[in-house]
Amino acid sequence: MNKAREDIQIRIDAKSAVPAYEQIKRALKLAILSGHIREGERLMTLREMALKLVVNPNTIIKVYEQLENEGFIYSRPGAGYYVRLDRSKFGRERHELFGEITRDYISRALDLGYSGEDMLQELARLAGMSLRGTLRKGQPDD
Amino acid sequence: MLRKEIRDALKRLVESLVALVVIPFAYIGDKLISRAGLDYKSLLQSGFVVTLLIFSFYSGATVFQSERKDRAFEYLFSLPLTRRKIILAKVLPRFGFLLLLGGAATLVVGRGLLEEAGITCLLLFCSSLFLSIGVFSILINLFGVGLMYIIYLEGHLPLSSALPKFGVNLTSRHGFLIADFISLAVLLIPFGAAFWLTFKNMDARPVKLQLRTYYAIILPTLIILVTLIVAYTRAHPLGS
Amino acid sequence: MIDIAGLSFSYGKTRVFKDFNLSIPDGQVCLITGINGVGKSTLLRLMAGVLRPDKGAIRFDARLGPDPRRKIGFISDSLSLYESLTVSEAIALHKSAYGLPAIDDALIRHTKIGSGQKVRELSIGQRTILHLELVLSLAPEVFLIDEIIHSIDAYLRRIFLEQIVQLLAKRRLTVVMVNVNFHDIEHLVERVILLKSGEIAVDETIDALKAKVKKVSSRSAPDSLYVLSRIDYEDHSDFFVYPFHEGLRGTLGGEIRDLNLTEIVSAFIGGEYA
Repeated sequence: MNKAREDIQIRIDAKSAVPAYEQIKRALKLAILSGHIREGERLMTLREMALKLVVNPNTIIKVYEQLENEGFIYSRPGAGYYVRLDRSKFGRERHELFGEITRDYISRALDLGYSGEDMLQELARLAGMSLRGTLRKGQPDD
Repeated sequence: MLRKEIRDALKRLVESLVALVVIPFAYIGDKLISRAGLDYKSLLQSGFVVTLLIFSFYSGATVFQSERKDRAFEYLFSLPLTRRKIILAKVLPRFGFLLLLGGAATLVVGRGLLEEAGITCLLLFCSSLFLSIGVFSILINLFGVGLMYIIYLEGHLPLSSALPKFGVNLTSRHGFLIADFISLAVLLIPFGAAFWLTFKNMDARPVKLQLRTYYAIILPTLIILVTLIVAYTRAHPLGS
Repeated sequence: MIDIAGLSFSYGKTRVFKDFNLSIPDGQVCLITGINGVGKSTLLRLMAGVLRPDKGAIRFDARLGPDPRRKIGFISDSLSLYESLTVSEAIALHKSAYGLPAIDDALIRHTKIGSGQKVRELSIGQRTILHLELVLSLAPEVFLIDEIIHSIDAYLRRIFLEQIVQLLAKRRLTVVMVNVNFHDIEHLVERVILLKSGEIAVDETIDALKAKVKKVSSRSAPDSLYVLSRIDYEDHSDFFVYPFHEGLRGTLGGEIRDLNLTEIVSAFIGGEYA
C-alpha cells in the first residue's frame, strides 16, 4: 500500500449538534475539494482514523461509506481507500459545501444575536482585508 | 487460584508453628530455674499437640481472611470459577497441611495421639470453617467452636445410651468411634449445610446482608441440641 | 448481546431495581449515566455477575459460553483485587483462573509498574492500568467499565481509550460504560441511557439526543417545549429543553444553542436536584 496521508487536521466540535460523522465527513470533503489531498492519494485506514480521532470505528465506517457513495473516494479491496476527484462533480460539490459552510456560519451568527446586515458588514470588512492580503487563509476563528 | 490458596494455607501453618518456638524458651527456662519435673521430650510433645490444635482451628477460621482483608470478594466472584471450585481450592490445601502436621505430630507423640486427637482436630477444623462465613472475628469464632466442642462432648452421653439399642457394642473400639462420628455428624451436618447454602448463593453484597438462611439453620440447631442435652442431663443425672 | 429481563435487586432494605428491562445489541457502545447513587454501578455489577439478581435474569449471547464471566471484561470503580499479592502473583492468579496462555504486559511495563510491587502499593492510575491489562488479556466479548476514567492522568486516559478503539476496530465488542463525565469518551458512545430512580428515563442515540436537547436563552420560558431545568441570570434565563426539533427553530424567541453530552446530561439531572 502507498503511504497514507496522515496530516489531515480534523477537530470535532463536541458542542455542536452536527453529528460527529457529519463533521468528519465535511472536514475530509473540504480537504479533498481544496486540493489538500490529491487524487489517488490514500486515506488512513478505518482503524488508524478511529485511533487518531479516538472515535468509535463505526463512525469512521459511516464516513468512508458515505464518501464512497458520494464519489469522493473509492476502495481497493485489501489496499485501502483512495481519493477520486470527479472533475464533473467537482464544481457542484464545491458549491454545496460552500453552501453548508455559509449556512453554518449564518446560524451560529444568528444564535449569537447578529443580524443579516451585521453579517454583510463584517464579511465586507474581512473580504476587503483578504483582498489586501492582511487576512491570512486558515486563521482560526474560534 | 489454587497456588494462592496453598500459599495462604502455608502462611497459617507457619503462624501456628510459632507455638513450637515456645519450646526452646521453656527449655532454657527449665535449665535456668533448674527444676525437676518437665523434660524436653514431653514439652515438645505437648507443643506439637497444641500446635496441631491451633492449626486445626486457625486454618479453618481464616479461610476467607484474604478476601476480607483485601476486599477481594468482588474480584473473586468476577472470575469464571464455580463456587465448588473455589471452596475446593481453599479447603484442600488447608486440609492437606493439617494431615501433614497430624502425621508429623503422630511421629513425635505416638499412635495414641491419632486416636485421641484425630476427631477433635477434625471437629475444630470443620467448625471453624463453617462458622467463618457467619462470624467476623476470629475470637468469636473461637468461642463458637468452643461451644460446639462442648456440645460434641456432652452429646456423647445421650448417644451412649441410645446406641446399644441399635445393636452397637460400645465397649469395642469401633463402637466408640461410631458414637464419635455420629456426634460429629449431628453437629457438623447442619452447620455445613448452612455454610454451603450461604456460600453457594453469595455475591459481592456486604456479607451481613446475606446471612439470613445461615442463622435460620444454625440458631435452631444450637437451641435444639443444647435443649436435648440439658433435658437428657436432667433426666439422667450423672452417676446413674 | 446483553438481555436484561424482569430484573429486581435490593441492597438490604434499599430497593434499587424492580422489574427492570434493557437490551443491548452486539457491538454497541452504550453509556449508562444518572445521578450518584441511582444504581449505575450496581447495574454494571449485576451484568458482570458479581451481584446476583433477586428476580429476573441477565442473558448473554450464546457464544460467551456457559459461564459468560469467562468473556466479560469488568473494571469496577472499586478496582477490586487481592491487594496483598504482588503484581506478578496477581497476574498469575488471573491467568490460571481464566485459562490464559499469556498476558501481554506491554502496558504494565510501559507504566513502569514493578512486578514485585504489592497491589496495595500501586497508585490508582497504576492499578487501573493493571486492571485494564488483565481484562484485555481475556479477549472479552463484553467490556464493562465503571467510572474510572477520571482517576487517571490524561496520558494514561488516552492510552486506555486507544485500547478500547483498537478492540472495537478488531472485533464485535459490546461496551457498557458508566460515567458522569463524558469529555473524552463522547465520540466512542453510540447510545445514551439515563437512569432515574431505578428506571430508564432516557434511551437515545447520541446523535438524536444532541438534536433533541437544546439550550434556549431568553427572558421567559418557551411554552411549546418541556423544560428539563433552568439556570437564572440577572437579565435572562437559560432553559434546557427537550424534545426539540428543527421546525421549532423559528418560533422560539431567544438564542438557541447546541450542547455537548455533559451539558445534555446535566440538563436532565439538574431537574432532579432542583
